[in-house]
Amino acid sequence: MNEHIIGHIDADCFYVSCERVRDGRLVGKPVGVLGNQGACVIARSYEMRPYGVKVGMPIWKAKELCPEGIYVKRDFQWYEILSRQMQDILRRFSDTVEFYSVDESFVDFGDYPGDVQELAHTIQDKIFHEVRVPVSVGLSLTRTLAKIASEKNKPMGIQVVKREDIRPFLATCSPQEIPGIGRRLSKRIKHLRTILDYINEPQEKIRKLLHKPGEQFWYELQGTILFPVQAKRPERKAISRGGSIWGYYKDSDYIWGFLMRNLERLVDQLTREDIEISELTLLLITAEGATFQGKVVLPDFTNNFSFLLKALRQAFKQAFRRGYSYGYVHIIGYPLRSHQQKQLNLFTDEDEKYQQLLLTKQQLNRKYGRFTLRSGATLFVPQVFADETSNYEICDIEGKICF
Amino acid sequence: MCQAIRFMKNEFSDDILQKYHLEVREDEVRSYFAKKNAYLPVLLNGQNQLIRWGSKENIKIPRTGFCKIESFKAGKWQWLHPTPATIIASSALVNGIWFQVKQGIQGLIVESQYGTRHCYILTQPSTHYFRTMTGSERMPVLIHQVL
Repeated sequence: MNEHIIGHIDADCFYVSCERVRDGRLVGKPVGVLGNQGACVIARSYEMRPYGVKVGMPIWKAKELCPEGIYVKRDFQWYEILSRQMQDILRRFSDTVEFYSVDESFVDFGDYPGDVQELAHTIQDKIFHEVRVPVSVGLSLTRTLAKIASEKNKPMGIQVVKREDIRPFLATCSPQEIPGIGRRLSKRIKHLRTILDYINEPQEKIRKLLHKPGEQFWYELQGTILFPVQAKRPERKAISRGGSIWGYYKDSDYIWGFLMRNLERLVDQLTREDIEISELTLLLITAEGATFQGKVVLPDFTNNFSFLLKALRQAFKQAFRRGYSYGYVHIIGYPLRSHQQKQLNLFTDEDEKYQQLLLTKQQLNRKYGRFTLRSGATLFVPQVFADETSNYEICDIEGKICF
Repeated sequence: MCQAIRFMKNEFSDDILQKYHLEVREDEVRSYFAKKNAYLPVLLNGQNQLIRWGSKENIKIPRTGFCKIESFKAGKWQWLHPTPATIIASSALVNGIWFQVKQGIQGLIVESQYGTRHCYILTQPSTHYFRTMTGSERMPVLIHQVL
């Protein structure tokens, strides 16, 4: 009897592999990819791992541990291109492909009639030969099992776990390998040595220890699908843009420059997804970790730049306090509604000429590149725009479910 | 500033690499500015050549391995009649960090009164990214690459 097969395709050290696609000189060497400001390692090659370099480690520490390592600047736009190519290959095998994250996908193969082991090899070969990115493939009955399987033999690993293999396979896995059970929750099950011990526990006991998520994994780990593969991203409840402002600053003009950049990114995303918001929240986070908030309820749902700009000004007035050094800003739009649901309003105060100007700005930026035409307030942060690769961040990769 | 560069071994023949006593490790060659005989791999007139990295001798050319782009633009190097050249490095070392060089580093070649050729690395003020990464206030001028 054919079994329902779910696959987890996980690229091996994806950012490094992407860099190696366009620079073969990096192959076989310890390579670290640095994050948005060049301060932290966000990915490292398998050759760098034995030196003890970890993801999130500051560069000054990484260079001490691995002085021979070559450090590369991140380029999320390039990573997205290769990620999409991988997605396209996976869609040749099934219509139900979940773009989970930039380097991970789930695929529902349905009741697969052929040789599952061969399927895994074919996927791995096709991706490697066409995109030049190595991937590990896990195939099993549920996405939880498939994910654990793909992690098992990295890099370029293949692991198929059929129904009859589940128990012997789980006997080789530690409970910490269950995706979604964090460090805090795993402390509650430290008496369990393997995942087989986990599924051997009574369901009620697992529910008591790990609540509903733990119970759901208990089912999934035994081959019952509770988390189906989602070919379409579920609707979001909120949208946000923000992050570090490249240091700690007291200057309100500098912070406003960063806010304008993030507002433009937010409006860009709202327009692309054809959605609107009715509430705008601004968070300013200080060097000491304190958060100051400003919140503006809009008169109606909108994705109009001029209305959101007015709202952001109000929110900034509420949130900004002189004398503090700020390091992070976040603009959050909530709740979301499709622009299609907009009702016509006779008393709209939208200025037609201004709308035309905004439309022209969008068209120019689409044609000549993001932020080519931008708000004058961003002149306070020229260094951010000096580097085109900063215009594109990981959250700008659309459609993925996980960050 | 840039303390060393790496380049691919296959850019030169084994005979040439031996002749210049360069440090060869697997598929790469390293050249350190602090070493007595430091050379830079340069693409000049369509040919790969090894040229002395700046000058440490008392001859009538600047005793350094670097040329600030500001002073070059101000015409301070004009009397040396420098020729632009591409340094075909694969990575470069600044403050203990090897960073990737995609296409090359901008270099300038000048000739001494004895007819020897010397290559200087063109430098510019560091970008925010480069300063955070290396802590250096200056960085090499990279060809078609923003760091």
